[in-house]
Amino acid sequence: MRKRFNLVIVFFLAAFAVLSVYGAFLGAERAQAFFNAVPMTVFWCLLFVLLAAGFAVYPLLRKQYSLALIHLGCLWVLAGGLYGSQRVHQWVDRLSGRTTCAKGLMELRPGQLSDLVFVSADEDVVNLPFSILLEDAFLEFYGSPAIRLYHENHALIDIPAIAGQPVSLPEGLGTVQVVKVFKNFKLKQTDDRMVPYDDEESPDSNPAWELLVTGSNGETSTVYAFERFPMHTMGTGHYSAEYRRPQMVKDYKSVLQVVDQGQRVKAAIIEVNKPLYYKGYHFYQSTFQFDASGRPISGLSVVSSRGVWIVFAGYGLIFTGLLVQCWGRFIPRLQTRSEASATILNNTPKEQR
Amino acid sequence: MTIKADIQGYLIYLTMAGYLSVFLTGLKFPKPAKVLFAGSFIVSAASLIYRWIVVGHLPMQNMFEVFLFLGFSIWPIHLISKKFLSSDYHITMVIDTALGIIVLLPAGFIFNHQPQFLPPALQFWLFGPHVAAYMLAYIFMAKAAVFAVGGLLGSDSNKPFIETMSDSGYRLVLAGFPLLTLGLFLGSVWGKYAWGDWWGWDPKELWSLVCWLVYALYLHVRFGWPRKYRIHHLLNILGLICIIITLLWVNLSKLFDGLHNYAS
Repeated sequence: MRKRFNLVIVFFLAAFAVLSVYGAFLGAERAQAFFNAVPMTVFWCLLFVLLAAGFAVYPLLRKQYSLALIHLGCLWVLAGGLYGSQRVHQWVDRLSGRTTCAKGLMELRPGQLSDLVFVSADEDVVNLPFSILLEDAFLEFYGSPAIRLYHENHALIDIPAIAGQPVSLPEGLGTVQVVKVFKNFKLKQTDDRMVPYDDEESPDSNPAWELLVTGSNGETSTVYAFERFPMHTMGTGHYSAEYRRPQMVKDYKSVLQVVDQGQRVKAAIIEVNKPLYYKGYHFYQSTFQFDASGRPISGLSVVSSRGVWIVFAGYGLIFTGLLVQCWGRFIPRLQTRSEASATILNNTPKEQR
Repeated sequence: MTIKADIQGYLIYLTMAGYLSVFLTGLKFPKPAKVLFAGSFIVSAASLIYRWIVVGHLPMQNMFEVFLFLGFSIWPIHLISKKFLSSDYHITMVIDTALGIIVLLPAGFIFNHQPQFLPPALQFWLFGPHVAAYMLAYIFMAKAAVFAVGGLLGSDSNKPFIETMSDSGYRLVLAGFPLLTLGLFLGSVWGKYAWGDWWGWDPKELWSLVCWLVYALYLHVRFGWPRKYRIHHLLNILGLICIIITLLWVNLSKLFDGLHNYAS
């Protein structure tokens, strides 16, 4: 009986390995569909039954708590995986008459409040029982932004994009200084000429920098650089300036508020590896892009956390069991070959010795 | 194949030279070889620390850094294994330095060592433990596979030798398997934090699972059929082949497009 059961275990483990290799060649998306299809659901259920039956067939699994923990942990991981799967989500929804979201995407612009989650490419939507307000979304870069100054299309110098002290120009051309930083650069007409000003009250943003170039002869020129419009130059004299964004993104961040029944109940800045959790859902920083006007669009991945703690508890059981079985109980005892053989024999069922 | 003519390269080559000297002299002059092995470890530690300073983050991001870490892990794992292996100490020292040379070869001559910024997904406290657990497990499993090869090449009539090879391989798998499991679990927990899924069916994840399943199969076969040494050895070697595929083929081949592509 046990020998046959051993063969079944070996067959299932080998089959699982072969199916995983096949899944690896499919790519993540198709592999997910493959492993969630009905035949594989049957496979998971059989594996679950096999693990549970192991406790009845092998007395060692009941007697040795480290082995029991390992195999119980596997049962927990399988149970958690099944409970959190898209298929079980659909079944639970059908039984309860509610529509929940196993996984979906929200795309929000700053200031936008929404409870809509797109759950598939067919634009199926699910309403969350609360809303998410995106207050702001921004990028962080490695390095600092800079302003590059040109003299008659010839690059002269890169200076930090912050208001500061005059910096000497090469070739004795004079100095350059960032004199003003605009959050929302706009122009207004005053006394027959256009004057720049910072319109901070408007929700729009148009970051810009005003540079004062002082020539070696004392002559001054004013030039502007724009973050959103790097090719647009504005100024006097032979100089022009360009905003230079650092190239490597360090992090993508979104400032979120959870609005539940009209009340702002939770606030968080989410980033990659730092999601927001509320009422069974995790919100992840997933995508980040800019629209035509340069405003950010933050893509939030919305994932139900159903079953995940069962899986993690399973991990804990397996790892604890393995630590005791492999490191704590077994290896320190094996100082000599004869002792090792003795221990192996002790772990082997009598009829197999 | 390029030679790295800078401090990083010199430190790698010096470590390799140390390992090579131990490999060549370990059996004849074990005492000086032992000192040389420890000295080579110090140079490899210096190489890893230098890299850490240059890139400004834990040097485990790409293939170059991973192989640098593997080269660094050889001596500590040699010392740990010594505690539970009954095999001849000098032979294991020679085997370990040979492994050290093999893992440092790609770092020294193949992989690009241009410093790279850490992408947002890797800026997490689990980055170090996840990669380190896997790398340490890989060294244990590679050592186990060496004993398996020895067992396969040995004559069946030499029972003590066959038993020693089988036993040593088994103990090394027992040492490495919890680390392999830890690497898999930490990656899964990290996946939940970073991407929202504790399992994403990504090719790298699936190959890591294949490695775990092959060693689980090895342990079950060993339990069910304790005297089938050749099958144990073959499974042990199969496990290492899967590790090599997971570590190299999945990252370097364009065949497996997935979430772990930053490691290539």
